[in-house]
Amino acid sequence: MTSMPQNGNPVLQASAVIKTVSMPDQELTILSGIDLTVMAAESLAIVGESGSGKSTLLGLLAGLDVPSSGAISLMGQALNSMTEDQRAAVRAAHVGFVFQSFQLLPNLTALENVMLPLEIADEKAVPERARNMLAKVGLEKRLNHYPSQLSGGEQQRVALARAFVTEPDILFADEPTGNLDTHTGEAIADQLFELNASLDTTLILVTHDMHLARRCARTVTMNAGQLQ
Amino acid sequence: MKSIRLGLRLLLRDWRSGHLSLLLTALFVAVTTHNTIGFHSERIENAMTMQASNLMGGDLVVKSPTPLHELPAFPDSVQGARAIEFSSVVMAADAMQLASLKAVSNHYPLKASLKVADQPFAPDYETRTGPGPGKAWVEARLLNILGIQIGDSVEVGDTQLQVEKVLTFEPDRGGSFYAFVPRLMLNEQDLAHANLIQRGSRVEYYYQFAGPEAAIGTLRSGLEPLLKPGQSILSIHSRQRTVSAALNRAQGYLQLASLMAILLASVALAMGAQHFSETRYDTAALLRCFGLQSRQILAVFTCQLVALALISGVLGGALGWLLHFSLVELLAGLLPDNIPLPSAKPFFSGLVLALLILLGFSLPALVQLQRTSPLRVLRRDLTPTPLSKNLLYLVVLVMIGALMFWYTRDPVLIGAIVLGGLIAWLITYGLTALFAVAIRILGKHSSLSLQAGLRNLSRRRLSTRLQLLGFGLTGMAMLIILLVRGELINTWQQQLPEQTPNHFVLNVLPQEAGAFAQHLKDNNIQAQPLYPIVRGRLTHINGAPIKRAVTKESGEEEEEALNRELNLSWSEALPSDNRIVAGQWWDGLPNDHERRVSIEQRLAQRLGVTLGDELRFFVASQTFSARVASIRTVKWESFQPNFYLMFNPGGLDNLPTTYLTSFYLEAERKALLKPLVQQFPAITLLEVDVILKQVRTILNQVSAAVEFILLFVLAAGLTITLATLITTMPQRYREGAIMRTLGATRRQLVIQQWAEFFAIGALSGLVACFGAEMARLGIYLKLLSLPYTPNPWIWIIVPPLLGLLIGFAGQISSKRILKQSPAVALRE
Repeated sequence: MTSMPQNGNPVLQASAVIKTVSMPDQELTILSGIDLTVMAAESLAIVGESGSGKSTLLGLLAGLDVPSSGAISLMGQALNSMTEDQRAAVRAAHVGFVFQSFQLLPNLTALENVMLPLEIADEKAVPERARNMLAKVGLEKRLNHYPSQLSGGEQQRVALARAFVTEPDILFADEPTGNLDTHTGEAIADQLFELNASLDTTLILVTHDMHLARRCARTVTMNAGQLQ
Repeated sequence: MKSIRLGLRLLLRDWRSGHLSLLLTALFVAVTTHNTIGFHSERIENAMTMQASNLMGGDLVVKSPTPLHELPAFPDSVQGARAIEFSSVVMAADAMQLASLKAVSNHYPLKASLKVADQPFAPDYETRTGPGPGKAWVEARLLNILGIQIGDSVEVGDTQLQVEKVLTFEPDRGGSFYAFVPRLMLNEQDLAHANLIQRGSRVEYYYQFAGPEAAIGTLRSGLEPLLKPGQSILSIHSRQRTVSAALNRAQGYLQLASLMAILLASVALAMGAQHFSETRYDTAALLRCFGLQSRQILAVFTCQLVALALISGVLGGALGWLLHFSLVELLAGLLPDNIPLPSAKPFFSGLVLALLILLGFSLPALVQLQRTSPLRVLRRDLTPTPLSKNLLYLVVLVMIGALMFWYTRDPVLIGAIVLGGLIAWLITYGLTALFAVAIRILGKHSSLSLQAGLRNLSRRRLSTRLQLLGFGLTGMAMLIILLVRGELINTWQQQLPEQTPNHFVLNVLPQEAGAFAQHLKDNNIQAQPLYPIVRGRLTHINGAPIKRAVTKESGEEEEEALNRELNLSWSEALPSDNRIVAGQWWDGLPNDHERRVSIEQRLAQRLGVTLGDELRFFVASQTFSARVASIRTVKWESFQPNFYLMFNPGGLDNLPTTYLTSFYLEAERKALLKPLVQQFPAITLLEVDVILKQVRTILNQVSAAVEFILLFVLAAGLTITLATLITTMPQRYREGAIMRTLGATRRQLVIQQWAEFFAIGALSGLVACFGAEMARLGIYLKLLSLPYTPNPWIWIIVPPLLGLLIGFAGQISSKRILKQSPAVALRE
């Protein structure tokens, strides 16, 4: 089934995407025939049971992996025909990430974790921008704390600040509240959508939490490697 | 540029969080060791070079046992001087002392300056002339011994000299036996009046020349064909052979010990590099996710490692610079004063070493980091495909091979190290396997914590083996030094029977021989017979010149040994400790007045001489031949007078002869030496006990220096433990937290840790004892030809002692596991 786009320009297009992996005795199909279009500033939730292939799809859409066949274009650039280094350049220019397991670097303080993508992009006024972003997620007093000194909710807020600090065109979030309790998860989701709205970012969110998915403008469901 | 900036920023942050300690420590130990030895070696080289220009006393020196009657014509630009050295007794009132006399001509010294002082211990100053006629310059200790002052007279042979100055430095004084006795320098003109040099006296003439290189070259080529056997053109090596050999050997030990330290530190470094990459997979994946390209990832981490190498290189270089002073100080007795400081070369080669070993051992890890998939941010199980194991081993082997070659440049030594390493590895392999079996059998009867601790060793077998190797080798080296140094001299001395001669007398003149023997008898001194000595040179074997024969049969070293004059002797009876192994002693041969010679077995083998061969000799301008009648074994270590070549009675008649003997004298009867030397002033008395003391001092100094370097080996061994602790810490930390969550008490965790570390220490102790005993076996049987006795005490003391030490160190470093609350530990 094809999910139809809404108004605006498409920032992401996937057509006939198939992903298979070779096992010792057979070829395993994880995704089959995915077609998907996402418009600028749209928020899309991909939901589904564990093992349905939604994280694999997110990885392909964000250019972290390549499909076995089919085409994916991000910001008008065909990811499937690029080398990993070319895809990295696309990610650097347009993409932000939020992960279920936060993925903060343990040796870096909250501030340094947020500064990292700005430093990679060789941007100006790095500490100020990182500090401002941390202030927006309410962590202005925790700048010099290491991840191990922060609670789960605080760590995910650092991850949000890190994802938005580069003002990406498109943000991929993989189960952003999956590791948090309901109350904290709710607060994180609030901040995610607020930042998303204020920065006009396109949001693609993978979750099995229907409550969170409903806050997105559009929801698609994955089932056994197919979009329904 | 961006990657470098980013790499350095990340490095700074890693540094602050203390995550680089392992790599830094291992590198620091390796570079410090390298630099300490590097600076020290250069100091020694400098010492040699400095001495080379001064030591010979000229650009070209001819040494001869007789005066040179014929010299080639040489240009005016070449200056010449002469020094004549011999030993004789110097007397003042009723005091007397054997001194090393040096009579010098005009123009002496040609090179460098003498240093003299006007009074003992007064400040000295340089002078470019020797003493004038009638004057003597002496070492301060001679003044003390004789109880005289500057201005007093001394009696030298038949002449009186006035002591004018204290001699404090003599550039061309070698390290030969004569250095043990005090110097008296006089003018050559006084020599004739003193009547000291007689036929057969042991004298060395030094003809020194200085001038432009080309003129010296011409002179050398003119001189070479004129040289007779016994005369030689001096080189720095022949002049300072004894001391430079001791220094070279010390330097060899130091380099071997430092290589061991660097190899051990490299093992820790390889472990650290693997750990570095494993803990940075997430960083690499995240950086890729944020858009860094694979070559930028490589640049980020390479620049971090280069920075680390440079930091350790600089710090290690600085510490190495400081530490080399201690090493020079420890070897002070063997080195001249005021050696020029080393250049910065070792510092830069230290930087190269740091870069080479860090990047070399990290190369596989870096390639893995570069290959990290960005998808790892979603799937943590995605670890980059490791390089093939064979490639990894190849990289490590090439690195180790390169390091060994760099340090030794000796394929035989490298082979020995590789073989030793292989044996050590097999031993640790066997020990860990045996240990695993022992735990399974005995484990059932011990507490759970004890079992858990011991099982950790079996589980982490590779790191256990590396630790056993590290500590085992360190312990082994320490044990060898401790045991061998003390035992060596004691065993050697114990080997000598009671009343082994401890004094040698040389240069007993023939006309005084009877009176001398009688004097000894009157004073109840039990002496060996007086052996006649004729100084001569073996020149031909069966008509073939010896130089060619020796070069063909053996090495240059033997040629050198034979090139000097030999002590030839004759005797009616076979010396008591000699045994005939081929042919017959004189009593079994016809008394036909043929000149016959008996040759020592090893010399005969070296020269390829067999029974019936004709040997030709050159003695005091005469040549004569003798046929080999027997081959003997000689007990050189017996301290009895012994000879390579002994002739039949009458075989050395009409040749300049002096006599030699040895005797034993108790320390409390040493006073008898004074009247002996007074009555026979031409003799040379060697006090062997004094020489033994000197040997002991040199051995002590060399071992102290090696022990100093062994501290680096110890530090390198400790970095392996640090590597194991750091790389296994996250696992230990988590296991500790789980055990505590399940109700384990602190005491149980402490027992577990103690069991593990104590066992590592004790097993390393076994490796050390085994290695040390094997090395001692080799040293005693092969090197020293002494009987070997195993030392049971080390097996009882060393394993538990090392167990306690490592147990304590391990306990201290893992106390975080006990301190942290399980909840926090599990959340991390």
